[in-house]
Amino acid sequence: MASDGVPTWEEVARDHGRFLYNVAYRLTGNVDDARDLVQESLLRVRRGLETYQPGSLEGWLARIVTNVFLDDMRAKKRRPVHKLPENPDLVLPPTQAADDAADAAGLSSEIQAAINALPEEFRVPLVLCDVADQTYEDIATALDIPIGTVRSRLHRGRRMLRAELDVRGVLA
Amino acid sequence: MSDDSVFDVAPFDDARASAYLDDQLDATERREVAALLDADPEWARGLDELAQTRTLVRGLAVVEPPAGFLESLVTNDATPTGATVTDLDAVRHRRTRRLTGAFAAIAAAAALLVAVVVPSVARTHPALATDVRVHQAGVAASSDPVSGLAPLGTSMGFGR
Repeated sequence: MASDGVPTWEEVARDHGRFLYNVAYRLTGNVDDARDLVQESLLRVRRGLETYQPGSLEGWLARIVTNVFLDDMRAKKRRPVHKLPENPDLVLPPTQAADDAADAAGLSSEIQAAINALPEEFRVPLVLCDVADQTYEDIATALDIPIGTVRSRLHRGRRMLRAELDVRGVLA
Repeated sequence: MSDDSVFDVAPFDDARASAYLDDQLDATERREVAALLDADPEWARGLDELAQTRTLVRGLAVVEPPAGFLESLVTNDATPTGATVTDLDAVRHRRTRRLTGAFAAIAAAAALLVAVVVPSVARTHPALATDVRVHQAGVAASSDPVSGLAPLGTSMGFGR
């Protein structure tokens, strides 16, 4: 840590990379996108450290990873719909590490699938609140929306999530 | 529950209940919700449902990054794509430099082209002047006023 209380980039990556990855995985729902999200977030962290004011580091990181995620979602919406592979047999299966970890916790993969099914405007506040443990005020700042909107999106997100979990038999 | 209390109890408000669970209500609102939970089974049931959903998400295990992923970011160990975060930044800069270099090369080529072509254009001027003189001499000899309107009538196709 530098004398001004600002961590070095390496310290952020080493000490908070796990936090970033966990939030990234819960937002994206898959290993490859989570890795990309963490890499891009850390690039922004490195640029942002010059102006970082010591405070809630994880709040700052959650804001960055959220912004990268939303930028990526917007970019994907501008691109054409996914092209199907010419030979589906040659497509490699997704990395299993995260899924295995999720399955080890029982219904985790079903819960993650239900989170993935939420529209991002509800998914993001929910992940920031229940995974990144951010306050409504932090979430409002991260998303640049009023606290009342955070409150509304959170309860609607939870209601939708409950319906999804119900459909998947998680609540039975 | 008396008839009066039925009308006093607000219908279940899951936005308030959700904020109550997250401890994001001010003291007054918090007391109000606590009172509603005591007074109304619908509130209690609604809060239980929300709490169950919230607990499921909060109870998710922390997902560990793939082995070696974070280490690859802070060291120069190559990732499967052969680039670390540090490298990726450098790659971006290299890409920018390459693009700048390409534009510079195009600009240089354009400048070279101008340098080569302009003198050759200049070299055509004497020939053009000669043509004009020949044409004007021809016009003077023929006393044709229409051809005289075009400085290079013959070569431009206005000649008769």
